[in-house]
Amino acid sequence: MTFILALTPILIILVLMVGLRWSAARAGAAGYLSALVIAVLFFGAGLKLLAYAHAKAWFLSADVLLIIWAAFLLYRVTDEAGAIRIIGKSLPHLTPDIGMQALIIGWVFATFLQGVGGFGVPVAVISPILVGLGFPPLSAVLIPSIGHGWAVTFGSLGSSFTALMASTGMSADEIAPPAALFLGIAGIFTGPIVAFAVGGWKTARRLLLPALLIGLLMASVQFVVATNGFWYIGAFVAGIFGLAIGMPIATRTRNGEKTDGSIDVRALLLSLSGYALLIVITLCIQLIPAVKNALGSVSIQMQFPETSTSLGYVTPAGPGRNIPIFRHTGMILLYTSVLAYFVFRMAGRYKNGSLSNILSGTVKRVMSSSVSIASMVTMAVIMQHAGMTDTIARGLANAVGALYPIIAPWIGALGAFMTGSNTNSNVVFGGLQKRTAELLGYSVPIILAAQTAGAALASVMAPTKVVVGASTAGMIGKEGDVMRKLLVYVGLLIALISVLTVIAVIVSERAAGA
Amino acid sequence: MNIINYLREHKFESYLVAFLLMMIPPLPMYFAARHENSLFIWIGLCIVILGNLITLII
Repeated sequence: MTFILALTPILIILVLMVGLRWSAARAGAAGYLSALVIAVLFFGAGLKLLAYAHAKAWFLSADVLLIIWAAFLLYRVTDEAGAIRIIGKSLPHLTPDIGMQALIIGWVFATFLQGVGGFGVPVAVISPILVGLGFPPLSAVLIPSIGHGWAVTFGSLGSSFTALMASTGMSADEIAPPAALFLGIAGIFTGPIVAFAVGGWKTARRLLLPALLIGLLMASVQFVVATNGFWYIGAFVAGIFGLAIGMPIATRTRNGEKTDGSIDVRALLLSLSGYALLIVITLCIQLIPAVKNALGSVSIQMQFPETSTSLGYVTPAGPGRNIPIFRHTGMILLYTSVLAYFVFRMAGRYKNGSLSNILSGTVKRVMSSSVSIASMVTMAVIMQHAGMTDTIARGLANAVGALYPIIAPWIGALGAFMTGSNTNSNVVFGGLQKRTAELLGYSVPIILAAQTAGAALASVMAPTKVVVGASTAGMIGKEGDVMRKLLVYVGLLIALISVLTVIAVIVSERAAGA
Repeated sequence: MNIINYLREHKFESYLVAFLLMMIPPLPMYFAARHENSLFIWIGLCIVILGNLITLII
């Protein structure tokens, strides 16, 4: 009975979003209110506990929201300057080979776009490009959907990964390595899958070598970047390297056809300048000690006392999330946005009124996401402090036991499919997965890596994302066709993550026993 | 019903208000808890609940 009560807020969110097609914001509010009522009435949560839980959730929410807001601002700054459109228009000139076009545009460029934007941007931008190149509408939606999934966790300039750290209290050093490894391997398999989706086994075989080369490079780059403190630009840098190697490969892959190969290089370089600034600013801040220390000298953090419910569940005292105001990832993105704005403005890329378009477009776009993050994070923290998460974890551990490593990525996948995003899934299930792993004695970083990898790959199938992609490719009303096709490919990739999780758990247990 | 319709017709403003109602009280609630001030905790909690109720209506 207590297991069902503890699970109720999560079930409410899932049922409302899937059954009644409520938005994440409304479902999150319902989840929060139900968690509050259940925590007070059935789990003994008192007034002081709720006060401290709300304050802790504030810091966790702020940590995620700063990134989401600034990331979308940077995207709007570059999009308003026409940069995304110019980059997208340049790529098809590289090769007439449709298989190679699918790889470069639908996979590599999609990875880059997911790295710098997310928020459904890869499919929304790329689907019309592919339709314009002659791809059937179904393929035009399918290809970038499959192509960008592996880049979601370390994309969107780190918002999903930040949410995972925020909801579990784990550091990037702990969870980035297994997460980047799992997603990198999924990324390597994504290229051949995209090629197969375009032209079956024949195209997959023909393009296997370039796909594996590009995939290995992008996966390796994302792994190195993410595990060395730059997790928020993991997918972005991987995408850059993918484009750097993919473009010369593409020009050599003609499959017997010709292309005019003409690209406005100056326009392309200017379009990429905003992202070049991001790399430069990031490296300056992280690698120059004087700059790093100066910007990190001002931070907000609060100490939280021990709390306990009337039923005896104790949350120990400890510090809340630390927010280094001037060195926070969100601020790095803000600095980049401001500088990129001036670069594009001096280059004459903006029309009158662009600044107000950028700012108003940003605020309007992120507001409902901000509300859903605020309510879901608070719900998750209340559930943790009231012992509800612990109750669910114990129930899962008792029910599933040794099979848990296999199902962990599917829990993350379920969360992303239902809530519409890797970020929301990490917020809702991160703490639960961590606690279950602890109870069962599995490596927490490995299980959390499985959580975010499964969520990333399944997020491409979220109904809201499929609707966006279908509408931009002229497939309104046929979203079901897209989902049916995606289910097979995404299912294969998540099954791969299950296998990797089991192997990783076995290896870590043997290493611990050695 | 007029208020509900107004909120739904002005979605962005409603989301903004709801967001502010959710995010402004928590830090004062922390200090209220440190000073054992239950009244202010209740007030803060009610404001956060109101923000979530507005979101439900939008």
